[in-house]
Amino acid sequence: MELEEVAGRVDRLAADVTGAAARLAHADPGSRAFAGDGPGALFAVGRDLHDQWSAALAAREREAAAHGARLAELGDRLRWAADGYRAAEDAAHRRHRPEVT
Amino acid sequence: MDLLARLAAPAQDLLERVDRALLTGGAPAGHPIWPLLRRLGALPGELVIELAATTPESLRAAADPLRELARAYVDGLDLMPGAAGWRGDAAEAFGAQWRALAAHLADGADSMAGGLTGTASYVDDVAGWLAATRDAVAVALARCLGSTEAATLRALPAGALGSGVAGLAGGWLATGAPGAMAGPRSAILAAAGIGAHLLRAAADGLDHGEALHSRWAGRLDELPYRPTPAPAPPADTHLALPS
Repeated sequence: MELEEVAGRVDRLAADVTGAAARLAHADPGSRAFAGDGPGALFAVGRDLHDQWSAALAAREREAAAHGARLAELGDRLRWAADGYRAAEDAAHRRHRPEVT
Repeated sequence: MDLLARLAAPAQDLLERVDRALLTGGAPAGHPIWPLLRRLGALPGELVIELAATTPESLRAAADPLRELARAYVDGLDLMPGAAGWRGDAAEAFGAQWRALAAHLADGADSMAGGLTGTASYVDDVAGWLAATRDAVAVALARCLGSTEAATLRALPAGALGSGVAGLAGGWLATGAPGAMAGPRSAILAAAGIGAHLLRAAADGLDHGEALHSRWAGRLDELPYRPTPAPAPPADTHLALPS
């Protein structure tokens, strides 16, 4: 597999993982679904459980955003390496090409 | 639609009567409803009506996109070839970095995919807790609906349960409705009995909810990324691709 193709796949994975962070932001059904919207201690527990869920979702979002950035950086480095490799190959070809008089 | 959702409408009048009776007449000293009222901090009728209005279905559905995403993370790795076909120090460095990134993304329970699955399991647990609490309160409510205490409260004329501060006894006396119907004290006892029965079921739900919250504390925290240790500077800085 060519280096550029690998870089492209890493880029796509990076975009998917970064996009997951945005999808997670819409996964919350709201406090009411957790019995977090009512009077007294039972609903206070519902709010606590919803807070725990919100914190977990936020952690998953941050993980996805950070890892998407790491993968994107790897894709950039692979592409940079591919460019350098191609430039080196081109230079080698030029050195060995017979001169036209 | 679960049992509580089915009972909510037919029970509405009784639940409102229970609350009005407790608000206006209180409950006898030493009645079992007192510690339950203190523990729950809510009147039984309003608690049951609000609990019936929750939507456990949307809670169960919340786990689905998380599990789909966890599968997508695993599938994403399958598209990558790794660095198997390359040689050289730079290829090895890439391979080590890729393995660390891939492991963080989707390798086992201590990965991002594992975190998503764990978060989905958490919301499953909460949905199970809510369903069990609703069922327990619904069963208690069903028993109350057919009880003699319910009949006592239903027999009261509407004016006897004047809203708010009028007082059950005062409202009762104002209607002048003694005779065959139960008196204010029996109505107060009936409301306290029904209220205690409902609040006891809710208190069990509260205990289980608190235990659930404690059980999951700290288990869904953000997963730290552990990069591979920086390798020694390679003698060869070129990737060598197979010919």
